[in-house]
Amino acid sequence: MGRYVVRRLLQFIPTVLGTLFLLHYLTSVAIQFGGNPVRSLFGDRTPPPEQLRQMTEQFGLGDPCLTRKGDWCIELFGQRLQNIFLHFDFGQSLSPRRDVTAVLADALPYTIKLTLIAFVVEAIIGLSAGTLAGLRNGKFSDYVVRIATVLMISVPIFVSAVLAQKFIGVKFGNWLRTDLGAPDWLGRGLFGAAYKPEYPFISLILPGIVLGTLTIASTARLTRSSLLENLRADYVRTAKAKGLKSTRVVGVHTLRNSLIPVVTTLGLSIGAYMSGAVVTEGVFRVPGVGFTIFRAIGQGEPMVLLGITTVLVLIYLVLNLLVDLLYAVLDPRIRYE
Amino acid sequence: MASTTEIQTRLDPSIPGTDPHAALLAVEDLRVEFRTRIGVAKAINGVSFEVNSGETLAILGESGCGKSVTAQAIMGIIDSPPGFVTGGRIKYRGVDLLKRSKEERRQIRGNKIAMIFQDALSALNPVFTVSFQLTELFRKHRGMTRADGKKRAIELLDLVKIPAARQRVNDFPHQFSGGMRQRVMIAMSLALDPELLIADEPTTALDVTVQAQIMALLRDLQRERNMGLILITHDMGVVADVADRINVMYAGRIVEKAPVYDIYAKPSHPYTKALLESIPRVDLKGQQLNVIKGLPPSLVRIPAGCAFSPRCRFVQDVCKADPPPPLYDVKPGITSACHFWEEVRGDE
Amino acid sequence: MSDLTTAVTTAEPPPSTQAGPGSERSASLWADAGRELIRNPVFVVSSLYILVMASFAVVPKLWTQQDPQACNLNNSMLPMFTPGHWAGASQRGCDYWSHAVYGASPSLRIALLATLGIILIGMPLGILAGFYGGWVDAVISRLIDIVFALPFLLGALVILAMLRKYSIWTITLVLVVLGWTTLARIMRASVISAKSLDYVQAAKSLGASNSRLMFRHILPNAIAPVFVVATIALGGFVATEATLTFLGVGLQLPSVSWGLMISTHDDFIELAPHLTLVPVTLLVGTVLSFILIGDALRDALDPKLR
Repeated sequence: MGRYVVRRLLQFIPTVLGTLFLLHYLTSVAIQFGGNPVRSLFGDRTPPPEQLRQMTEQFGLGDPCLTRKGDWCIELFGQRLQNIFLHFDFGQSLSPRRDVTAVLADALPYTIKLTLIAFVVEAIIGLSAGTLAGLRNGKFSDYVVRIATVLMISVPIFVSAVLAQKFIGVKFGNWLRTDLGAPDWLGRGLFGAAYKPEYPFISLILPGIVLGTLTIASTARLTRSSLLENLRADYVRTAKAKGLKSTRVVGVHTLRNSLIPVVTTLGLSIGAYMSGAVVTEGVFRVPGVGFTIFRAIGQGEPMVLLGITTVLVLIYLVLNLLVDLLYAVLDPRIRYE
Repeated sequence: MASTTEIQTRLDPSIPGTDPHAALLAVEDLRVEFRTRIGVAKAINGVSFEVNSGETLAILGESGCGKSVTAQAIMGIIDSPPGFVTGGRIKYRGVDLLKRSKEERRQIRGNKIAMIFQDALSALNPVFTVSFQLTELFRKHRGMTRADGKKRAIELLDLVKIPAARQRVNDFPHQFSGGMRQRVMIAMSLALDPELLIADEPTTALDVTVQAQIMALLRDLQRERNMGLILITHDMGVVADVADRINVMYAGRIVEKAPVYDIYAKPSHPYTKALLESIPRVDLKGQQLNVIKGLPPSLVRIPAGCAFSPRCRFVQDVCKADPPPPLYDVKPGITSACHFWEEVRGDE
Repeated sequence: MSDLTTAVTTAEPPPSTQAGPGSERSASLWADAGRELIRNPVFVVSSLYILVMASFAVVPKLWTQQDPQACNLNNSMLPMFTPGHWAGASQRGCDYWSHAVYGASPSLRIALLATLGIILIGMPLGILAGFYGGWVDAVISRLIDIVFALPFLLGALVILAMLRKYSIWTITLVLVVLGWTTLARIMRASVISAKSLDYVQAAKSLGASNSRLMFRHILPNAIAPVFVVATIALGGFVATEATLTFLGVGLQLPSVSWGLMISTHDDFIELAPHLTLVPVTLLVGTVLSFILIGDALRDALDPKLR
């Protein structure tokens, strides 16, 4: 197991560097071909060149390599790496002038809460639906689950977020409040249209569920197919031949094997949540990381965008590493490769 | 089996009504079919045989002839659907198992009748240690504690001659070599002192030298315990050393039954004869290899009359008409399902 | 059950499940799959839907005589079933049905171009990695890991936000650059398992050259998953483009696209729900159809399910 851990760590480092470089390169090319993003802050007016130059410097976009199309901007990359790993500096926002790390520190707790709710929803519903469908293969409940999951996958998250907000949040919430006289926490909190600071947890439940629907479908499908595959495996026949009860055969022998691929894709869900959070927080106005990204696009704060994305990429890579190690814990065959 | 640990028997799994004088296992006119998308496959069509304690019966035949299904039917682990037992009796010491409840059959499985499979790598659960998989037998069938179960597990590994049993018991199946894994499976099957052991192609996935070791191990263990052993295989070479009697199966029926020497010396059925002739021989260099032309029939469309008739060189018109040939008595202990067994025996 | 499967499938003249040289086996696999698909009602309905959507994109005049740009503020927010404007009118007074029809084109074009793109990049890389193994595989797999580590939507967001040029081509390019990895991985895995098939080994020992092995023997068998992934990718790209548009980094006004229809009218859901629900239905229907087709393809091409 130790050798496996070491090997994974050694693979981890070049991957981190590679991905950070990819992000750097793609955004640099975007600036090279798209023009100075600072320029767009001025809208239709033409700023005096000196002011433009100063602002560009302040944004950290002053490096001349950004004007040469196709330039790899290696020096800039080196500079950015140093900032990140030596000074923990991911850039600054311009108005107000703050470190990206400070902005993130404010926003992260909301997103973490939201993601946790989504994760719990996904795990509970996804795993049970998938197990149910797998055990009752071919029967009615199997079809129901399969249809439901296909529908869930087909509805883009912004559609479900908007629909959930308008119909459940606004219409249903209003109806509860005005027509039924329901308590405020129910009408405005739980079934509200947006995040309310006076109900910090409850008003996150609806957006959390919406975010969770993103991955419920794939978790359920994966659990189902993994279970089906394992139910037909040879070792199941052996377990039956040993005279073990069928509850034990399925519950102990099959389940453990079936869960392995599922657990590891739960790790991949994190990437989906990061993307989905942008939409969900945007629609429900949750002041988290996703909303910050949302606003940074609208306000034209390229460095904030780049800084936050860098942090998220690092988090994603670390989490994936942990998931890989977890996989080795669960599946002994991997440890000795 | 000598043991320093006291065995606490939670329940005595012997079924009421067993007759100690009856044969250990008697299969009578067993019929099994599989209902598939393309039709009903008659996997077993009236198979009857007996096995007694201390005896080794080999069931010989090509892939698809129904020999594994027979074993699964005896154990009661046929996937149902699509498989169904549609007739016959499987008598364990006189008691028809097919008429017993699922729970009663489950208690016999692993306990009184045990089975080992062909590919130990896929037959053992890859995510649990050998210790876990052995100990669970003791815990679930005998109510032993984990610690006691583990002690017994180590003893079992010693029994099947796995070196360093105490350390290796904590290993996972993929950490053993092929031969060692098969020994682990054998150990698992013997854990609860079964009276009958069914070995389904136990050596097919192994090297020739390891094959010999495993077969020798099985033979020794059987003798020590006076177990009945049913050996299922398609390999005639493996059978010669270990079996007392052989049943040859084709398309879901038994076509010849004979003691092992008689089968090799003078086969009584064209199929058996063809099988023997197709074994490559070192002393017949330069000659063409004999093959049995044609393919075994699809079990969904078994031909009328004798199922082997399309490929048989002794075939006559009567062979192609129903009813299929019964098992004729050739000599005491030898039967053959061929109308022309005399000709077959006389042919050189 | 292997006993039984061999028994049931033998004794028919060259069964399609038996392994054989490249094109023979693959021809019968596709023929079988085709027959099975035609008989699958889900497949047929979904395909018809996609054909209708495609005709929206290619021959819009067949479906509507109105000009989507002929907007009259007097007609703002007309409800459904108003004579002359059967789907009502948008906030700016444009005929909504013509928007629905013309809106299909950018979404489908981007999805199609992006899918072709990921096939052009992902397939060769996957084949090379799977076939040659060794350091070729190591380099390509590492590249895949790196690109894969960038969360898809997030990356697309950032790049498009920096680029600030929103056209069909830029969006397609970004989708391709970030999205080719899944296809490459699947292709690689497929080639690796095809490589170890017995008859490929046999061809190799008979002296077949590498390119012959690749094209005649391995490719026909390894290529089936690509179709499945490509179909599902089509649906995924339609959804992603709509999401990017909703977030403001996709197509922009005055283009006509379903995503824009949704994002510009979601504030009016209570007043005029049809303005959101019409494009939502079309969008979800399209994505759903692609996914169902992909699923049906996968089931039809899976030899294990025979």
